[in-house]
Amino acid sequence: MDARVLPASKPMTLMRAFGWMKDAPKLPLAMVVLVLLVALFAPVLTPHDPNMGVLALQQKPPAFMEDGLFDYALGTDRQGRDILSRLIMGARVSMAVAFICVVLSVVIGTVMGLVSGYAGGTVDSVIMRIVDGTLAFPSLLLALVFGVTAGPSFWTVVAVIGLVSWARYARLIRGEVLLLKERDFVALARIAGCSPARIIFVHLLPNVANTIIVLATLQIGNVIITESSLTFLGVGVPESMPTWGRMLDDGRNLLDSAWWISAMPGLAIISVVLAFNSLGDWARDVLDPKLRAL
Amino acid sequence: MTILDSQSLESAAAPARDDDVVLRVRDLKTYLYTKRGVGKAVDGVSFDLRRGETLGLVGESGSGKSMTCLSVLRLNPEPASRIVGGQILLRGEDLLQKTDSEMRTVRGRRIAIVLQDPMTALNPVLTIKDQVGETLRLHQGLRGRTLWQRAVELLKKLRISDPERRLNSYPHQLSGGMRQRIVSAIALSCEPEVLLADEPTTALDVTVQAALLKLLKDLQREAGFPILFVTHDFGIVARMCDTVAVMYAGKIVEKASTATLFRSPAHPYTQALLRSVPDVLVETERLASIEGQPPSIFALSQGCAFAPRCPHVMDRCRVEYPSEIRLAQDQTVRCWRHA
Amino acid sequence: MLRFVAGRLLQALITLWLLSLAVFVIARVSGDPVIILMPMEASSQELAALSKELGLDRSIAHQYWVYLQNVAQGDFGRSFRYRRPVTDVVGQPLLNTLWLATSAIIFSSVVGVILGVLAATNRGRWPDRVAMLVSLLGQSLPAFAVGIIFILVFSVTLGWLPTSGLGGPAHYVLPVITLGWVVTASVTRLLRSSMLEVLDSEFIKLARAKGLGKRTVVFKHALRNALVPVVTIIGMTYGVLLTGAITTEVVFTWPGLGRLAYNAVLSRDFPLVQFCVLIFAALIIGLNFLVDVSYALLDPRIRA
Repeated sequence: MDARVLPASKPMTLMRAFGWMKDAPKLPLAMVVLVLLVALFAPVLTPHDPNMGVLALQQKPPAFMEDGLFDYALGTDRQGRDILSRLIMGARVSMAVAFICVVLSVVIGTVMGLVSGYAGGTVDSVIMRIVDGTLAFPSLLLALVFGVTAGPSFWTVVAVIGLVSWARYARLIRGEVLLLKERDFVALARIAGCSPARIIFVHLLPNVANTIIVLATLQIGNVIITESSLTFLGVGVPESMPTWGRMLDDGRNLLDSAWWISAMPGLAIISVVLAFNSLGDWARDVLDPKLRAL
Repeated sequence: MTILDSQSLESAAAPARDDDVVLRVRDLKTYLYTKRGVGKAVDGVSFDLRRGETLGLVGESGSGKSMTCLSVLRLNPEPASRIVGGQILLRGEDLLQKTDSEMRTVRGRRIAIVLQDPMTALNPVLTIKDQVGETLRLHQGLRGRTLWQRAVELLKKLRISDPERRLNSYPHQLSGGMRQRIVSAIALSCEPEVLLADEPTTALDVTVQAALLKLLKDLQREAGFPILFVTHDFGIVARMCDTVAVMYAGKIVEKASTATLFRSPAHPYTQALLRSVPDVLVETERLASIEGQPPSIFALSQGCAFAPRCPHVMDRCRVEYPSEIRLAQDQTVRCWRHA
Repeated sequence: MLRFVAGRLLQALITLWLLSLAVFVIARVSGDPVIILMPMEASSQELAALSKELGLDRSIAHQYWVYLQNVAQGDFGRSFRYRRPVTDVVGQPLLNTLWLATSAIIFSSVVGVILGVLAATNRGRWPDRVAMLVSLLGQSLPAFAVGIIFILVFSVTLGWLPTSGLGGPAHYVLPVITLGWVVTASVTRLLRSSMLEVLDSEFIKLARAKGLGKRTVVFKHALRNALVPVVTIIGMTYGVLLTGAITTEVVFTWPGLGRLAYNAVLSRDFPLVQFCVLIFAALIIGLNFLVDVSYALLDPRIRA
């Protein structure tokens, strides 16, 4: 039978993706669930105030080391703040940044990609040039400019990362729509009198859901890394909100004397980014193998 | 298309002498090793290919016919599958005893293959010249001008018009039929002793298919190489093959000369297959399909693999695999009904 | 082929123009440079005077028109901080960044291709595992953290390599690896998977059936096909690498364009920032253009 007369291959919807989760790599999945739970319940979980240091307890090593304190399991930083508490609070901020950025870029990128691919013609050309331009934008530099003129804030960071990363979604989704709209089910929908908006959101969107899920999972790791780079350059979220990037940066001049100040958040970043990336890889292999270029 | 055309009936070869045997396969076993367990993809396959003969290897997809073909070249996918037993004798030399580098001098020179899908069998980034020239360069040591001339000759022999231009094109610039001729040209470039054809025409239009089959037949008559022709199309069997081997779940269940097989198929599976062919010769009211699913090669019982689908199944079939029974000089079958 | 190149060139130029427009607007709306430039106690008359002098009191459209006229004459503005035309300031740092980024891209392409081929041809065995570990780590650490660890281990503790600055080949080692690791990672992963896919294809089966040796099959038949998507990713990540150069240059105090731009932002030297952004963007767009062209050279199917 001619493959083109078949209905679109059934998209892997979110629900079915969760059904597949039982085959997901266990360790990364556990890691992700853990960090999400920690982020969610951070305020009740912190043993100490993450922003209040105890001057007498500056740069205490983790509990497993000589001179470490059981009460401060992962040690304290330069200002005597509990690293574990800051890690827990940092999980909340870092995850918040990551998720808001992802949502922002998914929404903008998906709409742009769907419209661009479906409309074609001038609309397509214009959107694709904007996409090219956005992809060519030195995003760190843009963030720097915003950070310096508007002052460092949570929302500056989110806006800058979100506004730069939608373009990848747009480009990939457009590519898929170009293929999808040749399929008969789109023609049928058009003959049936569906409005373009309905075709785009009811018929096309579910078919690109896999791509979105995969991209989003892989983007989370990226956002965490970008956020920490911004903090390193001095334009991250404000001092009062501990993020892993800021904590990593805090200890950078003390690496030889108090390595744990940087090492703990560093390990946290590595393991969470690794976990999200492995999950993303797995999701890609299961849902959408042709996305291997990501 | 009629299933039996007179030509192939005439050529249904009289038993030939033993020293005509070019390729002799004995008890070949290729097993798949996966997470699901061990699958007996090819399980004790034996056949002889004589000079000038065409042996059809017929069966449903998954019956092990392609795997048999690849195993002969020792190109079965590794490490997922391994040849675990048997002999592949090319003029008496056992290919399974050869080293990898010795094997490379066999592939493309002494045994060549035409693969199923001409659209993907050619490397998209290399010109036809590169790909046709490769075997000539490797196995015949041709270079430069002589290489070019030989390639042009070869394409002409495959009745490809305008060979000079074709040689400089890329695969995507050629039609499916043309590409399959190129693939055939590569296969025949070093005048192989045996040609393996793994469903070479399945992906082609009917008319293009007919032309290619005729071409292969003509070239075979000229050069005398035997062909192992893997197919699931009895129409092709009728026009191409002298003898037919029917495969089911990794085993050859019936072997006969083409004429005999069409006239009096002995195995219930062969009978069912022939019934499912739309044709005037085998008079049926409507197309019969075979009840049930082909068995999983990962979970075969001790008995006959066809037993669960067989209309004539007996108790014995379920517990004991049938041995080979010779019904006539040119027909053997593995079925207890004939014991 | 020529039409293809001309079409892509036009696209690239349009993109660059759109981008320069965006930069211009962002620079005008993200804050009033006059307030930043003048001392805190400046009177409103002084502010207005400077605003007039810089032409900032006119409409954005008018300012853009003036800007375009200046650009047409090769005048991209003067750096507040260096008191020289930005075009003069940028020269040497740009070269330094290009040296660094190019070394990094060469390093990561070579290492990435080697690792990718090794991984794909030894699937599931130890070379595959090592390659995947190297690439996973590369993608899960921010470059500045890698750089700091490198400095600590190889410069401070072991004393093998210089910590910072420009100099002989030894000065390149740490920054190049720091900057290139991410790209190495994506090249490795992508090449591995596209290699595995290609090695599974019919034409590889045919190539082996011709009796070709493993090396010919891998390098002549498989690698060239597998490289097609990799070239795209190398080109695309070159952009990541150029902007990533900012953190690497800051960590290793490399006198490049990234560090120049970073300092320009901190000292609010907007003409310089604007020009740096433009140069980065032009580089990235130019590279994408080259990628498209080389893509077409590698894969004859694109040319039509």
